[in-house]
Formats: sequence, C-alpha cells, structure tokens
Amino acid sequence: MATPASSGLNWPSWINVSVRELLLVVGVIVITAGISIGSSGNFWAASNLTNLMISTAITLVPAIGMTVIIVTGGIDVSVGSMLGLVAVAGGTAFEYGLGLAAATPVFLIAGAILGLINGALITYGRVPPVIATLGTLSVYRAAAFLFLGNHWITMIPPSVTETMVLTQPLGVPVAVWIALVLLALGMVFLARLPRGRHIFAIGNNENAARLNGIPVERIKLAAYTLTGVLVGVAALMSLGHSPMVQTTTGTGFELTVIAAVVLGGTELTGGRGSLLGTLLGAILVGLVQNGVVLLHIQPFWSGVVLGVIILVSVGSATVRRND
Amino acid sequence: MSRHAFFKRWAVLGGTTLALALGSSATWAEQYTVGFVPKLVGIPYFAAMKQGMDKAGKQFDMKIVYQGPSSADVAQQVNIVSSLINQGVDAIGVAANSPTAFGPMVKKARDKNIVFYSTDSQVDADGNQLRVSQVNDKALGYKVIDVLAAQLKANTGKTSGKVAFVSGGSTATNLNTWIKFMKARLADKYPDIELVDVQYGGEDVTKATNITNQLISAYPDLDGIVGVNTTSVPGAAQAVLTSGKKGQIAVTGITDPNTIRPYVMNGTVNKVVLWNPIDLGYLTGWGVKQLLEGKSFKPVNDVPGLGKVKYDEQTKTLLLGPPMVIDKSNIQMDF
Amino acid sequence: MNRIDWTGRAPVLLVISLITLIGVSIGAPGIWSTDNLFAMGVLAVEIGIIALGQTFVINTGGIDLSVGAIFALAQVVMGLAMVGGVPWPLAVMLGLGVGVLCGLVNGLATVWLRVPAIIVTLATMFAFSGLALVITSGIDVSGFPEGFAVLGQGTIGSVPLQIVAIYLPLLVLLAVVQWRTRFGRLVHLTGTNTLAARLTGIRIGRVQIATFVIAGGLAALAGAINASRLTTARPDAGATDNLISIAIVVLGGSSIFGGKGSVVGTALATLVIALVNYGLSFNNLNAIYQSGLIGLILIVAVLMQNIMLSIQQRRAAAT
Repeated sequence: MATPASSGLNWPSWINVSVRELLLVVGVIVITAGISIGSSGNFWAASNLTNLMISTAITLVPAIGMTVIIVTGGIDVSVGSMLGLVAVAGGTAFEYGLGLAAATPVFLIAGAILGLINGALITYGRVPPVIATLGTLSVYRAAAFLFLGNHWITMIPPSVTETMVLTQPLGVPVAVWIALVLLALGMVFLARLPRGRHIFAIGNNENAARLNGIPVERIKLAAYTLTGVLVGVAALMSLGHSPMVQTTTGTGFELTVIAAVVLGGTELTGGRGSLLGTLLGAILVGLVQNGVVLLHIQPFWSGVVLGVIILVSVGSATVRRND
Repeated sequence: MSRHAFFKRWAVLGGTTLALALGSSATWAEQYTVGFVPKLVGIPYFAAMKQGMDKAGKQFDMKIVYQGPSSADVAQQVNIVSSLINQGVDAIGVAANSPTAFGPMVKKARDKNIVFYSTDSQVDADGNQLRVSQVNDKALGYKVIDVLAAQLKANTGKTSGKVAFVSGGSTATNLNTWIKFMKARLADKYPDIELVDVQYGGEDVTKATNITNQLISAYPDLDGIVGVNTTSVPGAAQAVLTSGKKGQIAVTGITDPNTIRPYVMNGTVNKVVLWNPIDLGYLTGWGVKQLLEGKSFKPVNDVPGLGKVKYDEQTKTLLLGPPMVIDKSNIQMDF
Repeated sequence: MNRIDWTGRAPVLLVISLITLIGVSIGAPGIWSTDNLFAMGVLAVEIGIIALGQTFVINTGGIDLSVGAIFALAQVVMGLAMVGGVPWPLAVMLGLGVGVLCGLVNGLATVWLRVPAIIVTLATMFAFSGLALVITSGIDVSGFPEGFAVLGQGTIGSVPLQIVAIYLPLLVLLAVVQWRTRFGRLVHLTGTNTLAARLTGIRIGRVQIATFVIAGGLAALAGAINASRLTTARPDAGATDNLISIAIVVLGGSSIFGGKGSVVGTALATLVIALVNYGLSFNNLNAIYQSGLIGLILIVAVLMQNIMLSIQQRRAAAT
C-alpha cells in the first residue's frame, strides 16, 4: 500500500524489512559463499572488496533516484547516456584546470539539467516515460559525441581517485560512504516525510493523488531531476574508479541500474518499492559481475546468471503472493 | 586541445549543415574520392589515422571521406560501405571489425570498378586489392612479450612469474592474432612465465579496470598484465595503481601515448608498444593512390616522407615497419 | 478500429519524412537511384521485421526488450549448425525454432509469473545474449554453404530478394492477421482493456504468449537474413535493435500502453527511420548523429501529437 512493505519486526519504521528483502539477503550470502569457496578465499582480498564496493556504489547512487521514479510509475532508460554526457561536462571542467571541489558542482548541475529535461518532457509534455527517456538516451549520447569528437579526456586529476577510492575511513572508500549516506537520506525521506508518502500515492493512483491535492507534476519533475543529480554523483565516482572519459562512457549502464532496482523488489507498475531492496539488488548485481573472473570463467556467463537470477527472484515473489 | 576540438565540432557541424543546404555533391573532375571506414569513430587512434590519410589526401590530391560506426559493429560498417559505394567514390576501404563480413561488399565495389582496400584490421576476401598493415603481427606480439619480460626482470630479478592478458572485443581478429603470437613467444623463449588467464573488456576503460581488479584478486601472486588494445592498458594500470601494487605488477601492452601518458608519468607503466597511426594513415593514402593510378608495388617502395616500405606480393600487403616502443622519452608524441 | 490513426502520429510522421526527403535530396541529389533505394530497403528489412513482431507485443500492452538478443542467439545457432555440416535450410529452421522457443520463454514467464513484460524481457535479454556469447566463446561464426547466401544477398530481377520475397509478403500477411482475424481482434482487445477482455472470456494469457512467440520467431528470421547478408553470424549482433524496434513501433502510431497501433504504421515508420539513417549516411553525417536525430524525432512526434490533441480538446470544450 502506501508504505513499502509491512513487517512484524519491531524496528524503527524506516528500516522496514520484508520477506523479499530477507530472501535477497539469503541470496547475497549464498552467492558470496559460493564465490569465496570457488575463488579459494581470494574474494576477500582487500583490492577485490574495494572494487566490489565501488562498483556497487556507482550503481546504487542512481538506483536510489530510479527507485523513486519507478515507485511513481515511471522509468528512466537514459541514465547510461546521461552518465556519459555528465562525465564529458565534468571532464571538460577538469581539462580547464578546475580542481575536484570546483568541478563537483559542474557534475551535479549538468546532471540536474539533463534530469530536468527528462522530467519536463514526461510531466508537461505528457510523453510516456519509456518513450521520452528512450529518445533522450540517443540524444544525450549524440551530444556527448558532439562535444568530445574524436578526443578522450585522460587528464583527470589524481585527486579524484585519491579522494573517492583511496581515502578509506574505517576501511570503506569515501565513494561508498557517500552512497550509504544518500541511501539513508532516501530511506528516511520515503518512509518518514509526507512527500515520501505522496510518491507512493502517485504510483498507486495518480488521479486520486491529484484529486487529493498532491502536486503530482511537481513531484515527478523533482524525481527525474534528482535522478539526474545522482547520476552526476555517480559520474564523479566513476571517474575516480577509472579516470578517463570516452564517447561511449556509460553505455549500457541504464540496464545495470534498472536490474538492481527490479531485483530489489520495486515494481514497475508503480506504488511499491523499497530502497533497502535496491541496495541488496545493487550488491547482487555487483557480485554477479565480480564473481566471473574470480571463478576463472569467461565474463559472458555473467549475463546468463544475472538474467536467471532476476527471473527467479521476481518469480518467487509472485509465487509467494499467490499462496 | 580539447577546447579546440569542442569548437571544431560545432564548426564542422555548422559547416556540414551549410554544405547540405548548398548542395555539396559537386565533385572536382580529376580529384579522386577515397572512402575510409574505421572500426568506430570517437576514438583518438582512428582520428590519428585520419590525420595521416588527410595528409596523404592533400599531398596526392585526393578527397578523403571518413565515416564510421559509433560502436565497433561490423553491420553498421557494411551499411556505411554500401552507401559510400553508391555515392560513387573511387576507392573504399575499412579497418574491419570482422574479416569475413565484407565479401559481398568487396564484390559489389569491384563490379563498379571501385578500388577496395583494408588497413589496420584486414578483410579476408579475394577481391581485396590492398592490405596496409601497421606492423608485422608476429614482430608486434614478440615485442610486447619481450618488453614484459624485461619489466618482470626489473621488478623481481628473474624472467619468470604469472601474467594475464586483458584484451578488447573477443571477436576482434587483429587482437586475437597478436594474442596468438604473444602466447607463442612465451612458449618459445620464456617457459618460466605462466599465462594464467585471458579476459575481454571491450573498448571500454571502465570494464578493463573492473576486470583487471578481479584478475589481481583472483591471482594474488600475479606479476604482470598485458593490455592488448588501447583501452585495456590504462584500465589495467588504474587497477594496479588503486590496489597499491604499483611496482609489483608490471603493466604493458599496445596503446597510444595520449591515452597512457598519465600512467607513464606516474610510473605505473614503463613502456608500451605501438606504431605511428598517423604514418599508417598516410601510407594507406599513398598505397590507394598507387592503385587508383594503376601503378604496381615493388618489393621495396620509396614512399615520400616515410622512406622504404616493404610490400608482400602474395598477401598484397604493405607493411609500415617495426613496432615502436613508447616510454618517458617519447611520450610527448601527440596521437 | 485498427486502421492508421490519421489524426494522431501519422501526419507528424509524414511531415518528418517530407523534411528528411527534401533535406537529403538537396544535400545529395544522387540519392535518387535504384541502387540507393535497394540499399535503403536492405537496411530496413531486418529491423523492419523485428519491429513487426514488436508491434504485436506492444499492442497487447507488453514490450519485448530481448528481440535483439534473440536476433543474435538465433543467428549464431544456425551459423554453428551450418559450420557443423547441417544443410542450410535445416539450420535456418533450427534458428527459427530457437527464436520461437525464446519467445515462448518470454511469454510463459510473463503470463505464469505475472511479472511485467519489461522485467521478464530485461532478464531474458541478459540471458539470451549471454548464451549467444557462451556457445560461440564470443567469436564470430563464418564459412557458410553457398546456398545460404540467397536469404540476404539473393535478388529477384534486380530487386533484393528479402524485400519482395520476405518482407512485403510478411507485411501483407500480418496486416491481414491484424485486421481480418479473430486473433487480431483479441490482440487489440487485450491491449485496450486487459480486465474487460478477461471478463468477456478471452484467454488473454494465450494471446500474450502468442505475440511473444511471433516476436521471437520474427527476430530469428531477421537474424538469418542478417547472417546471410554479412556471411557472418555474430554473438554480439543486434544490441541496439531492442530499443530501435520499440522506437519504430511507437513512431508508427502504436500506443506504448497497448490497444492502438498497426503493422502498416510500423512499416511506414521503418521506412522513415531507414530514410533518415541512409540519407544522413549518404550525406556523410556520422552514425551517432543519425541515432540522435531518431531520438529527437521520436520525442517531437509524440509531443506534437499531444499538442494537437490538447488543441482539439480545447476546441471541443469551447464549442
């Protein structure tokens, strides 16, 4: 209904654990155990954990916004191209000699603008979300190409990697801390604030929400813009992870993000979803992509495994619902 | 540099629109038009090749049309070749994403008396009239392994250890050929160096970084990594850098100076191997011009501006020269 | 009820094609030759066939993100079979069978698990393209028997075979299915109002499964033509076809929510897309700008329709 999912556990209401999420936790544990054994413990090497955490954080941050969008009943398939175009904008700022602090707003603002365009098309232009963002997926990619031409941005200051990846308070990279803080904020917002409840209300029944005086258009516009900003954050993290901007940067990233959200139990029909699930979904996707090399098999298998896991996970939810 | 590139894009697009409006199909009577379809556009390597082709175009009075797919996709390449043939160019060539997919196009070009050539990554078809090869595949593969072995010796004092290869697309013929010769060199000359894994990261530096990170974890006693394509070497270097294994894991491979410069400057990478893509483009332009004028190649040719260039009659291959080692001393080259 | 909606996207489409036509012809008058026409047609056939299948799925209110993956999987299966000595017609049948099977998996998972098609086909897209890579170890397959070339390189008179002998008959057949058969009406009803359709006793599950099977089979057919044309089967083929096929169907007047749309509209939109792609390529504009322009056209077409619609409503309200 209007809240993510119910539970009998007596925890603070914003840590709302459902059966689905418990199943995901089991899934994460089983896969982790499998990879640990299969890799004779190499999974736990510090460098691997760092890599896994960073990749997961880069997926998770836009997935927070994507969850909100999907709960309202929308979708954004343009985040891959958005990440590319934002990285071009931010990378260009670095090339002009801006430092990390000065360039950060460029990432965030560029993301906000692109997200705002998506949102405006969907709310005020009344273009269906899939269509609007399918269109901007190719438009943003063409724009990245237009700005970058045949040139790659390689002169990203080392401070980006040092700050995002190599600085590790309590053994966890800064990028991951940022992702966790954003996630916690999102969880509090969705569960505790009236606006958060409005988001679920829109997803459940948009017309009813409108009749109840909820500013549907403004909230949706904000959701897409917010996702753009979060993509900006992810772009900065991703330049810390691999400091180079290509014209193809971010291609296919939208699928990873959507897969994480869907695995986490957020329903594409709108009205239901949880950020805790999204976190678990992002970890699961990260594990699947991380495991293949550790298990000494070709990366081709990760697609097969990911597809099967999504089907099994979503299917098991349905089977339970029918019981 | 990037700023110029940025404004140039706009200028080019504006100019193209203008040309569209005015009708740009007018061609000069005697000037040959030569089409070149790279594996993909938007990457510095092929931009450098284009620079060389344009140089040859200016010098030998040819108009170069450069058009390629946005990802390394052979189906898109074939569509572009088809359109260029119908435009009536005088010569058409590709850096092929797949060696077998151009057979019908080669035939169509030859039926219309259009010269067909391949450069950088070759086409397997009888009608292909010229192959321009950047480097002898064997010499390149051997050179990379020699550089790797020297680096291992510098790090550990002996030419032994465990190494892994990170390549680009698993379907890329030239990359697979180089891998074959690298393996052969390891087996022949360095039996104590063990190749533990070959992985593929596509033409994407982020994927190459991720895969190398996983390789480093999967093989904790890894001593060296070879990146087989332009994006794999910086990806591998970044992974080695962030995992704190700089100086322990030797990184080398095949890539260009612009892309690898930061890692050579900070010492993660000592030496990489390449050829000069500008020269490759220039040689391609020269070779095509000879064909268009009906001249034949000699076993050794005097190419203005390049010097002596070998030609192999049997495979119809012009060979640019030996591989070039790039290190701190020549990293400032701009391509 | 299923005719082309002339008050909707069709006029917008028409205007766009006219602008493209004029722009392209001014830029390169040489484009008006049969050679170019056929080259454009060949380019349109493969994505056009995929889009025809996608039309049925979208018209029931579904969506199929896996058609590009099926396109690749089917072509490498038939490629491997031919290289392994299977006669080519048999290998093609095998590939089509794989496509139908993939479609069946999509359909059954959507209906049985009651999961939105977009999730099911997102999952199977990963799975099918992963399988294509796994069974080929990621390497292209080539070395096909000569007879196989007929599918993608054959001609009738001087017209490419796949245009007259495959695409056009298929289009006629599917138009008849859509407009003149019970199945066509059921697709429409299912998409218009699933609940009402269920209440009137239509077994909508079967209709949905059938549309996925059609989409899978047609994607495999397109894969066969593609492999024949390129004399190579590629495990990574068709990666962009998922989204382009959806864009074409929507441009062709189908509602993404189901119910409205026609294969003829899809065919017209395919023509427009092919014209844009080939026309820009003929004017030596980069492929990335082609797809950018298509994205722009998609947005503008839907926006224009919405604007026209709201003007109409305002007029209706005024009178």
